[in-house]
Amino acid sequence: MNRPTDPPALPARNARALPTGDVHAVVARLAEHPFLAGISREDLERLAEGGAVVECDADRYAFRQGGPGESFYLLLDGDVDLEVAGAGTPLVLESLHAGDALGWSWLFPPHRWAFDAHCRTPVRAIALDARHLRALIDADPVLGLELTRRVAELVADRLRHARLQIVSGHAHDHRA
Amino acid sequence: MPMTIAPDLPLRDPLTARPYVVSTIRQQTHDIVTLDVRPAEAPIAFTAGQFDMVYVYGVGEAAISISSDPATPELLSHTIRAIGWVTRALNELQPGATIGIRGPYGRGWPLDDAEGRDLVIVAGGIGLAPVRPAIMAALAQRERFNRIALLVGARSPRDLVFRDDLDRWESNPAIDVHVTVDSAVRGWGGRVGVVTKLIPRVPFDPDGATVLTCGPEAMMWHTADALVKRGVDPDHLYVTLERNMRCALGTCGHCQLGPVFVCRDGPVFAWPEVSELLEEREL
Ligand SMILES: Cc1cc2nc3c(=O)[nH]c(=O)nc-3n(C[C@H](O)[C@H](O)[C@H](O)COP(=O)(O)OP(=O)(O)OC[C@H]3O[C@@H](n4cnc5c(N)ncnc54)[C@H](O)[C@@H]3O)c2cc1C
Ligand code: FES
Repeated sequence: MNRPTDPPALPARNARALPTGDVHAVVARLAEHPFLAGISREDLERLAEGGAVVECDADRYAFRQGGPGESFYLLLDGDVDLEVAGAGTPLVLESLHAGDALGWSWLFPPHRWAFDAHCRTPVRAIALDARHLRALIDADPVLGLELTRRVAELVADRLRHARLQIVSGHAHDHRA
Repeated sequence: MPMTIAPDLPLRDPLTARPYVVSTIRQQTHDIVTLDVRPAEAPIAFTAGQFDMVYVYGVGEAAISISSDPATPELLSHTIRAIGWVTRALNELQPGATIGIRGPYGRGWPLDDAEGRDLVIVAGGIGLAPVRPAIMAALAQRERFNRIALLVGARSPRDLVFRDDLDRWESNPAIDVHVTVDSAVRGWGGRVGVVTKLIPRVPFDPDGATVLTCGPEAMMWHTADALVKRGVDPDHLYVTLERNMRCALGTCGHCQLGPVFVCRDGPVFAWPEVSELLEEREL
């Protein structure tokens, strides 16, 4: 996906930024997103600095495995598949939809994406500037802890799901 | 309306299998079939969630849930994954073959508990088979329930069972159907992720929901966790368990789980009845 000010994570032909108006448009979207439910208006305004509403066309990548985690995406519309590329057709490990948060590699060094994010449909998302978020987390321990806790929940959820995938597969193989 | 025999008719020997003739075989996945069978004698009524002991002559018998509509006991379905001697033999049967069935046994799904409430059904893999009769029964008495939601997970798209039913239910406004698979190659077009991921998103009232869950034990654990986190009262959360069975009558003790016999006291249990027992590894 592309933002108006930063260099895009991908070639601009894969994604384009919407004319976003101003930071208030981003704040209004953030306030409606489940990931940030309960965060004060003031904090949302701080998070939104450098953020933008972005779009990605269907069948394009929002980001690629190994690419720099420069943005934290909160999905507004559309479906994104987290994929691993193999010799044949890519394998989808998880699909993300409106209301989901996309990835956490932006928070932890080396800030590189672990998967490909393939837009299955046209996608609209809020892109928050990762460098700005990391600086905010360092500078404001209260907001920083809250944000980190929410990202940790994403990671814990994903880990729980991955474990369930493994044990379900194992139960299946064991029985099969 | 065909004549039916009450399941607990005292004169019937509960250990004697009655003959049934295989009428149709539906291949669900590479290792799962649904056998539709018709009784050689009068059909026997059953309730959603009960199971039969299905006997392949000369091979042996296995506990198999009934996967057909309780309204039509004259056409009984069992959905079977080939994993051992009996289930493999059942997977290899041809139409016209005769098998033995004794049952139905056990405590089924408590649809009465869902009366006037939201009914949420969560099924993983072949776990859709034991809840299918409950879905059919609920749709036949639609006015008794508020929302009906069905959440289905499978390991991959090719592991989804009862696809015709899923297609039909997806276009039926009486039921809200959500399907997901653990992983898929690009092009599947549906949701990808474990079934528990659906729980926070599907519209239902957690305070007023009765939930029926069936799948691998690990999946039921995670499902119960996610439901309780959403606010569902565990007393209204039901699971179905599988344990090795022999008599299915509550006498041999093969299916014992601590103080309960799965064949007699289950296979459907309220979550608080079994959650601690399942934690004890040696049970
Ligand atoms: C109430 C209930 C409902 C059920 N409903 C269904 C259903 O609808 N569909 C369905 O397909 N199944 C169902 N089952 C499961 C089915 O009854 C069992 O899987 C049954 O054991 C299959 O019999 P089998 O002879 O084919 O396999 P078994 O020979 O019993 O083997 C089953 C599995 O257990 C392993 N195993 C066997 N003995 C041992 C041992 N001593 N130690 C370790 N592993 C062992 C085998 O390797 C194999 O993986 C249900 C079970 C219950 C209790
Ligand atoms: S199978 Fe004999 S007691 Fe349950």
